[in-house]
Amino acid sequence: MRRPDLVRDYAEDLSLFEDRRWMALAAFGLVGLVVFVAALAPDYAVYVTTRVALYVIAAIGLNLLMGYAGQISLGHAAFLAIGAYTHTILYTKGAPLLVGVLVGAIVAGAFGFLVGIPSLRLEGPYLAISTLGFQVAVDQLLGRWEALTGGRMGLPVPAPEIFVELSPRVYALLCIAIAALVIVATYNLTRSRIGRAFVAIRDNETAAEAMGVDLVIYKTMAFAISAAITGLAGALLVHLSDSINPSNFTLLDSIELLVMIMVGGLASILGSVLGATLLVTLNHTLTAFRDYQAVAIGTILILVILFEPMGLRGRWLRIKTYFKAWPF
Amino acid sequence: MDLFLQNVLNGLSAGSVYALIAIGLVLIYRSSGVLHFAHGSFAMLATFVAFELHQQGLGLVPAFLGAAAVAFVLGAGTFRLLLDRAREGGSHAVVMMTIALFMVVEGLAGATWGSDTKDFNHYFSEPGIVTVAEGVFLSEHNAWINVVTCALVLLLALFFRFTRVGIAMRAVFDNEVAAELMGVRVRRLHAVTWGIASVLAAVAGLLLVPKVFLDPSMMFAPLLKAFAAAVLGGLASIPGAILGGWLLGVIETLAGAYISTEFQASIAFLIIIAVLALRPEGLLGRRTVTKV
Amino acid sequence: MALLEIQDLSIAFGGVQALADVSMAIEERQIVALIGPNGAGKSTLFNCVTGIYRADRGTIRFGGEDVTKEKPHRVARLGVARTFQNIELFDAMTALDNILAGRHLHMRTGPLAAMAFGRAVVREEVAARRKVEELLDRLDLQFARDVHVMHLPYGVKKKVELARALALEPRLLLLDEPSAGMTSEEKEEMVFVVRDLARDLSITVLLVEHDLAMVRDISERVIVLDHGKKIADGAPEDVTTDVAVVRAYVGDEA
Repeated sequence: MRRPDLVRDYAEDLSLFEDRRWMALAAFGLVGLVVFVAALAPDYAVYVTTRVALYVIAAIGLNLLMGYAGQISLGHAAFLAIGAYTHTILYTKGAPLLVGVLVGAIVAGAFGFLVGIPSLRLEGPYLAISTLGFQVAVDQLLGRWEALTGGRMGLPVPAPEIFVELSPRVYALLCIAIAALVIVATYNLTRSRIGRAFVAIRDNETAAEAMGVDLVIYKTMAFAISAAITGLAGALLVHLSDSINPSNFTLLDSIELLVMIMVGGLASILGSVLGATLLVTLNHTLTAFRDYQAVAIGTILILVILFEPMGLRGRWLRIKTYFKAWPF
Repeated sequence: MDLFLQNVLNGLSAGSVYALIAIGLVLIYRSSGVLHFAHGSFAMLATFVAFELHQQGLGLVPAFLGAAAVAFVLGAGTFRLLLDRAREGGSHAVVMMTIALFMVVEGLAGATWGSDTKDFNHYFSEPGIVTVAEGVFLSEHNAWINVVTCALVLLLALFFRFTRVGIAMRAVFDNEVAAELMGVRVRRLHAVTWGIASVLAAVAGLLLVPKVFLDPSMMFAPLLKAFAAAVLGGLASIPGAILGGWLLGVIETLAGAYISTEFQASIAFLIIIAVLALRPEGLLGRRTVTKV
Repeated sequence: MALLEIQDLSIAFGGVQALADVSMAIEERQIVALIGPNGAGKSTLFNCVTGIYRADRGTIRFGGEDVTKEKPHRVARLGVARTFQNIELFDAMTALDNILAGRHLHMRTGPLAAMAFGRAVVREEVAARRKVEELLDRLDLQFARDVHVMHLPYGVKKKVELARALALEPRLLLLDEPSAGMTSEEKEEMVFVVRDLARDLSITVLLVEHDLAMVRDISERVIVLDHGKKIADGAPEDVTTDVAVVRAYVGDEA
């Protein structure tokens, strides 16, 4: 059933999918993905799919801050790192996996709050510099604080275990489930009062304040939620290898997250999903061209900025409109 | 006391390089509102060009001039072809464009020249020593750095004061719209500003290279420090950038000498954080009131 | 007691004294027009009242509370809503979302509840929608409902901004040149809309306006600023014929 042109009540206008067909498509896609990962996919595809799911989460976190609230961050890989290290340390000491992951997300969120404080006084370019400084500072700290982080050598990561040891396939399913939850939760957030406050701050700070939006609360909240979501992804990422070290979370990783949301489309959950999927898949299929990877990503970014400012999502919207209006 | 003076002098030499890069950052920021994250990459590329030209048998002076020309064209061309259009997409698009350039330039340099380091010793690497005062010395290299920097700063000041182009640039810095109405070709001036800034960065790269080895990421740390210097000075002030560069160099060297060399690397970020927290407009910047 | 009381308000920018010892008291449910030549300090006064500028001297009391040093969002919470001289809308939002953003203070949903989007959140959203639809009907804006405001014409934007301010259910409404750039028909409509709103919703209105005919139609009282000083205050008929006022507007030869 299509959404009727005349919406009968406002609640109907608020349903999650504007059209049942899209809901069916989403459900079908999710089931297909689960079957693929659980039974059909070769091991390497399972690994790549898990990475895709986790980078979808991380990209959504960044997009919430940059696309919706309009605050730039060049240091989001640092939140990945904080989530990852917090979880690894706790998990090694015997904390249950999901507890470690949750605490990792919360600690990352707390750091996000701190990083957000300068944003109250700083405009775009200064914020770019201060978040860049944060990224480099975290990198240096992780490399130097050997007692806690193992320095440049990093830390070993025990195998994932919830009562029983999780096989890569089961772990992939867990990550997909969490990614799906994050997608729904952030989509809900963006269409709520909170999401409107974020966008209001992005579009016009003065007017947002005049509507009663407390900049102190909402800007730091945007940073904290964004960092927590990205930290969650970071915590889950550690189980894809048997050790972590600071070189997994460098400035280049921050930039890659930025590229994902720019390519996918700012202020769009769907865009974050598309962008993360594209970038991670490219990273793992173009391994033969490793030398030119940065060049390729940079070139894609330049082309997107020049010719497709709304990202993949903009393209998708145009395709959708085309089919809706078909055959006209 | 002599040791202290010695450290200050060495700090000033290090700071001169930061200042040269920071002046370019400020010029570009003031003219077109762009925070140029590929500024260091352009300097690195120009330094490689000089190296290659020299390898081909060219003398050092022509090689340096060639590198400067490449830097100018690279800077001006980047603005005309890429940044001018990205500006229409808003502030995020602008920042991302310079980051994309950073990735492309460093990636291409890495693929072309490999990431193994090379030595590029030239004039300024002479091992000689200049005696400044009783017991205070300056290596010939550092002396060159300071002389070249001061000469360029002086040249720049004269340029802004006495040439038509320089005066027009100052008008654009103050009020782009008004300048355009007065008949200034604003875009062309932006492009020239980008060119000049890139040449200054290229000089910084050439001055620095005997100290650090030639490799694609050689300018990354200096760029971060130049950002710190620019923020310290106020991001929109050229004298501020120079002062910021020298201050940062001196503080860094003193911290390395009296506290620990480990700490020295983190100083720049502590300064960024402290300045942004306490006085975001920097030492020589001005606070502005937005009108609604 | 007056709803808005301003005492000896002064503020300077650089060397320019934008407001010099301005005092006024606005009674509840009055519609007061603030007039004066460009640069007289009208918008500056609005910006001081709403907390965007911090006055150098003087006090502003709203509903008995001292709001001289309050931040903008606190002033909004106390019941002051405003529109802006140059239209400050959320450009990338639809008209509907702009006005919904004006309901911010009347909603409670926190971040975690918003992520779950449970029944209580839906109920609150629906209630907010109902209010907003009322405003859209009232201001004849239904056609613009789902249009991104950046695509709307100037006059419609002004109305969306008014609707957004009304969504706050303010006690005091500050309108900065509500009819600027409108045709005379649109201006007449605006007069009716503002008068009806003020009556029906018992809102006090302070508006900056240049069109003296409109000022006479809409307001019960007129305050005149010139070079940051108050030079007249009274009934529209008296003030608009006042010698000092005419001189401020037309120049000394008049």
